[in-house]
Amino acid sequence: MFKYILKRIGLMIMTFFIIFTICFFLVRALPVSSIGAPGSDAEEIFRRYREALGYNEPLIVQYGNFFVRLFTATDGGNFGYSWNIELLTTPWDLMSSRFPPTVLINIYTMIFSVPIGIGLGIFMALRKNHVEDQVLSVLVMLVISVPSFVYAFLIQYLFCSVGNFPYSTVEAVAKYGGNWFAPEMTASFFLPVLAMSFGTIAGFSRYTRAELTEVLTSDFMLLARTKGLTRTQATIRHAFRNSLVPIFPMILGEFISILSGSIIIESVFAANGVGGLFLESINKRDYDVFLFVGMFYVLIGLVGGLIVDLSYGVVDPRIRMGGKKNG
Amino acid sequence: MANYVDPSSYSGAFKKEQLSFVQQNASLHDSKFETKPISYLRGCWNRFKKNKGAIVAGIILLMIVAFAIIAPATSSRSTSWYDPQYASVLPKIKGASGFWDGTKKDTISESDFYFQNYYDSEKSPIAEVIEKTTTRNRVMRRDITTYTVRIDTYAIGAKEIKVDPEEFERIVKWEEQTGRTIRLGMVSYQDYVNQYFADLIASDPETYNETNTQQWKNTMNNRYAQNSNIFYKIEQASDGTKLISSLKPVIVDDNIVDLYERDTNGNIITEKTSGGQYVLRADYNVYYEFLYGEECYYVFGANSQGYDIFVRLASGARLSLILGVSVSAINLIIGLIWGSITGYYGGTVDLVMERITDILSSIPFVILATLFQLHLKDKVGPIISLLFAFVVTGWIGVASTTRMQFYRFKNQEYVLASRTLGAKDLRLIFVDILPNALGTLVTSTVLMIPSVIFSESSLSYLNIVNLQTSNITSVGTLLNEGSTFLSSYPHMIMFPALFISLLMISFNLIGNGLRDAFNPTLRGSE
Repeated sequence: MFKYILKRIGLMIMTFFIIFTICFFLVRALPVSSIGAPGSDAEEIFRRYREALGYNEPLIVQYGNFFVRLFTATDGGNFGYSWNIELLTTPWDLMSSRFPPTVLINIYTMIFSVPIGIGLGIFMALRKNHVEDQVLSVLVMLVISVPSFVYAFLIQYLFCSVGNFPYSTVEAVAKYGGNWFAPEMTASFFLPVLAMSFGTIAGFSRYTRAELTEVLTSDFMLLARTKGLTRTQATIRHAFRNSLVPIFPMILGEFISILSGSIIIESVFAANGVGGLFLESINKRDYDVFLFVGMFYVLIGLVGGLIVDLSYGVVDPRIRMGGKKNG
Repeated sequence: MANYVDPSSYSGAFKKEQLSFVQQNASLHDSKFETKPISYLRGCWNRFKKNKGAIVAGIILLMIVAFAIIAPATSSRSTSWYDPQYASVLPKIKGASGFWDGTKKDTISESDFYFQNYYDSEKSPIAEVIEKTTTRNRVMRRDITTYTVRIDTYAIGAKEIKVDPEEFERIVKWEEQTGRTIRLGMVSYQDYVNQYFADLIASDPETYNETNTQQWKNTMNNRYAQNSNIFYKIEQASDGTKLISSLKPVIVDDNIVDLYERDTNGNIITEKTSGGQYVLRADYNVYYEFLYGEECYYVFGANSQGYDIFVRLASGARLSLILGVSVSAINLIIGLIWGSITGYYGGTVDLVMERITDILSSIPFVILATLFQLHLKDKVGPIISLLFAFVVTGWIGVASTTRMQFYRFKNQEYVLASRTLGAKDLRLIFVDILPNALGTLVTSTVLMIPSVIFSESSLSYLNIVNLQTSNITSVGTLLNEGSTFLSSYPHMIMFPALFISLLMISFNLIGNGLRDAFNPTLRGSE
């Protein structure tokens, strides 16, 4: 098991490194858009900074320099600098200031929607093929299909245009900048959380229903009932626990993706999060920030996938890790 | 064995005459099938037919496709056509009344009501007066009257237009033929405004003078200049005791007093010439009919510049569908070949290829799409670079599905038997093993279409990809445009959002139906 984990981590680092290298060359090969009018002071400063920091060297030299700076830079520019968003701010500083809204929106969404989703799924599995289950299944199907931004528009229209919802994230951030847990701040997250919840609730309930129905029909459930357990006892002690085996990694995956968030929901509700920074870096052609945020997304994806895979073995020891594939 | 086949002479398959039944002369104990054999695809279709949701979704999808293909042909408008005069008008179906007729309910003040009501054109914006309410305002100590009305967003009224002499003649001829009026009387307001303020100062020299009325005078002049629907005398409104800054029409015996320019004979002047062109004060709705032969209506409303959302949505739908289908087809072909090779040969080839797919699938699509746009947009255009981005990672799913199927089947007895009979690799891959993967592959290919459309609309909504040209637009761009006017003109976003939701729902339902039809064992296990 330990050896398997090491191997997986090694592979992950290698994958990340290759992706980084590809992206680095593709990004640095792009034409640079300068700030300020040609010939102006701002443009001159911009040009000289880039010259001094080695951005005009050949790509392969820049690539080497990047790793040198990564380990030796003392001014915080280990990951490069922002050029067009805020001149010479480090991507790290830019991103850490954008983290709270993204993380909070996602945590609230999870707290709100995962229990509801699992609860609905259990209800549907227990009432399988009854009217309730059929109606809910159709609803879940519809809700899963509709893109999340459609909910975002609908919610924004109903709450902000018709209903005059008083809290917006932008205003709340301006007012309570430092305090992410102020009541108004939390209230301002209500709409994006609601918009994101639809999909999450539907996803979890569908998955839970599928898993639980499968477990409910297995032989050991019959045995449990034969032993004299009531239906409730059998369902809670035997069926639900077993159905959690694939659900738990799903929750874990959701938890890790908290960090990356939903770019489109953040954009609709103008929650100034990491997704917003990513879009800004594309629109303003701020390539170092783009690379940094992009690599962050890649890393989240890789680590998330790894942890989800490994958690299967932890949750259910019967699943052997690193076993030889039969082929 | 009656016939012995020399393996060296075997050429792909046995010939019929080389074979004979084992029980040539023995008696058979099982009887012949009474029923007709059902082929695999036939069976799938029978199962698919039973799935009502999938059939309904299929019909909806067909309608969407028909909309995308037929809508641009039925409409006389092209994607790049627009009329700024009809900017932001609400959806209207030809000849509808009461619902979907381009009107909206609104509550307006009394002076607004007058200004909207007195039009000399055929249509005035007040389609219907629902209620007149008068409330006493205690602070201002006077009655305030408001009107609840249905406003016709299509009633543009008079607009100043310039036409060349040729068109002018056609207009005059058209007016004679149809008996309708395009040319409304020209309005001359300068003299009236000057006279009005001169009279005002003369009536009360202590309160008013040139200086303190200048602001009002400018406002009144601007009002006339900007709103060519005001062809009548207007004056400063009063709050009962003194004049206030808002304006109202002059009403004498329930009638307004017009300011038409008249010639010496007292006939109303309807056109002027300037630089070889005629300047008209045209009834724009009638002028539109003169130009296009029918009353103006936008089935899905107009956007903020007067583009027809119906035509543009159809264009966006076509782009989405073409992109979705072609991406799926390309991915299917690449994935099939790749998956077959890795799955069949296994070993080192498989290991290397798996690493490559691992790396490619770990790159978030949004990063890939951005990089492709930044690098290739100027060389091959935004659509092709988006297509590349989709293809670079999209085939991985198909490849791994195919690979899995190969692992499942390649060591089964019937494949072994075929190999023993001398079948070559290509025959084993494409004739013996691949058909088993058909169902799964069809399902995943169909389900890829909505995911491509979803990604495309998300990316163009976020403006990472800009597919908009004068002739092409995308659903995401429409959503982006509409979201700016979400609170004031929800119709702009409603139709694209509805379209994409319907498309996603029907594709998913069809995908599920296909999956159940192809793999009956998977039914119900979402």
